[in-house]
Amino acid sequence: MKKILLYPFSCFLFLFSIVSCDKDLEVENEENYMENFEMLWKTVDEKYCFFDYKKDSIKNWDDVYVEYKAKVQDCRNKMDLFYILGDMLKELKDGHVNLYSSFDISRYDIQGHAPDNFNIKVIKNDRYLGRDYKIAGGFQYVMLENNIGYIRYSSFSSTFSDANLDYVLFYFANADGLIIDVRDNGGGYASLVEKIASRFTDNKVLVGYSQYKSGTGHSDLSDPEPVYVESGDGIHYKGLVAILTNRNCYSATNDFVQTMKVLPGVIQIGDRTGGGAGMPMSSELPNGWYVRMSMAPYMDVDKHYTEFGIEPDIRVDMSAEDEKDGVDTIIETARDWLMTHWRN
Amino acid sequence: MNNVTFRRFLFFLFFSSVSLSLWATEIDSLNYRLTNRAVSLSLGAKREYDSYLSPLLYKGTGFSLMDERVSFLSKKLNNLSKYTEFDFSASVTDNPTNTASFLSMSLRGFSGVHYHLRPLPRMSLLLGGLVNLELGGRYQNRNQNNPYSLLLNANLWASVMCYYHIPLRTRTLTLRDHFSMPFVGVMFSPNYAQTYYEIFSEGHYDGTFPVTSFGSRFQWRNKLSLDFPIKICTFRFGFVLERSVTTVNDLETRSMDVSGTVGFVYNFVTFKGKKKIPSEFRNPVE
Repeated sequence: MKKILLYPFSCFLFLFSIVSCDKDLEVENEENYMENFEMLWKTVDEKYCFFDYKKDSIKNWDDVYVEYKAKVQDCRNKMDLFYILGDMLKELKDGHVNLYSSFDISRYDIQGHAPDNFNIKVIKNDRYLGRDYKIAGGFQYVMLENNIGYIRYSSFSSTFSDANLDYVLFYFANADGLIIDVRDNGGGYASLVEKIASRFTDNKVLVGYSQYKSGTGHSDLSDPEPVYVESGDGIHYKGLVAILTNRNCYSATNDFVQTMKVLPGVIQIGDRTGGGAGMPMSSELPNGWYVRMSMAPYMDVDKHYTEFGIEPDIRVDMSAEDEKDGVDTIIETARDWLMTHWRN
Repeated sequence: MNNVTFRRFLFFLFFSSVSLSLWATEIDSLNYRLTNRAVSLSLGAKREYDSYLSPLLYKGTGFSLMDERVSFLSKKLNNLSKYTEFDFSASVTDNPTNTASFLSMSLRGFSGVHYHLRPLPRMSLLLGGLVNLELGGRYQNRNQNNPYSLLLNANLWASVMCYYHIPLRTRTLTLRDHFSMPFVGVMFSPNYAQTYYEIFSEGHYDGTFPVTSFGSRFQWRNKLSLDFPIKICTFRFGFVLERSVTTVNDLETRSMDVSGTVGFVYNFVTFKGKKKIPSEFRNPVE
């Protein structure tokens, strides 16, 4: 009897002994600077997707380890650690790589020394949006002089409905051209890109390719998978479209420009976009900070990464003189181009 | 795993479970079969690790509600029994600094058959196999494009159950230990750093349903319980231990549950469909 009773209990004890696993995942001291550094470096090493593509434009990641390990060894407090780790991430030259703490967010300056090429005060004067513009979802829109439609879309985090799109495009149905101003739009939801673009085509169109990091090696990327935009339900716009861009067009906005440029009758005017062609995903550190980085790159239809931006079809900067007079050089260039080309 | 292999596997799972239940129906037309049912609630500690969501081990608490049924396939054939189980479990676990949490939920169903051995008086040793299907998810509350993991898998399990009846002066206690372990299956997993947006919005499913076996899915579950009859019902007290480690697509998940269980057990007979209810039973709705 006793022996029999021992069977399940011994099983249970045996299983309990197996339970003492996962020791390799236990963090002994969450605040240990070196442990946080090691985990951040390793996470980036295994998950960041542009090491191969950027090999000539960024430092070797193993060299970065040596350089920053020495700095972390001399680190005296938590804030110092944050800025050292933040600087390490900036070596990747990627606006999608950020370290988040409760006191700051590290970020790479995508604009650099490029001109702003955007002034909201100029946009808000009566020549353009003025005070009497219409709003539908995240869109602000107005009909400019010469029957040119103007849509200001400042963030892909500002959502909109199909009905919003229907009303906006219906309003511009008889316009002689449409300007979509996405300058200073830093991105947001990638799903909204297709939602807009689907209103500018009647066909299924190949607009690029997507990949993802398929393993821990720097070159472990999946085969490029084609990405299509299909004709959407609702009202479509059939005329010419000018997309206005500057260096702060980033992430989903970069994807939007890349997608729209494939469609017929669409032109990009202004400055190069800021890039950001890798969809970021998140991870975290033992001390509670979290990090995001590009892990799933997008390519254009020619299978080129647009991580460093998309060159415009017509390159034009804001003139300081025009700006002083309340004139937006880039909008005016777009308006001239649309008026010249819409009948052709 | 290519499509043909995957379809064959699903067909095999489907065929196994359907044929078992048909068999059960055919050979059981004349006899009453008791079904032993246990409904229990578990509460305990949970540890989770999901490298798709975080490189850290999360710890917290979880509960589950479990419904288990055991019945002989036939009264005549008293060495084969059918086992079914449904359980719903939920847990909340936190990272080491309590700055992020996993919220996990899953619904599982098990079905299978055991062969009964009686090596000693008052003891039954049940050997058999189970088929399971699990659907659930794990949500991390601050990740951006990788905030959740879908839990979707189907497996064939080896199962061993041991019952020992302990007669006391006024009642008989039942001690049970149930150990089970999957040996082959299929599970959903994104590729290493593939977003769910890419999988479900763009339809890039390649590699997201790998076949798993001991090397890629090591899991076991042990349920130890004691059934204790009192005047009005039989209580069940026990422990559940479950360990799971999966390694697919360069992603690793681990989970560990240690729970205490309390529930109740009863036996019943069902008369379903066109089958006429025997006269010795009173039907309350007639």
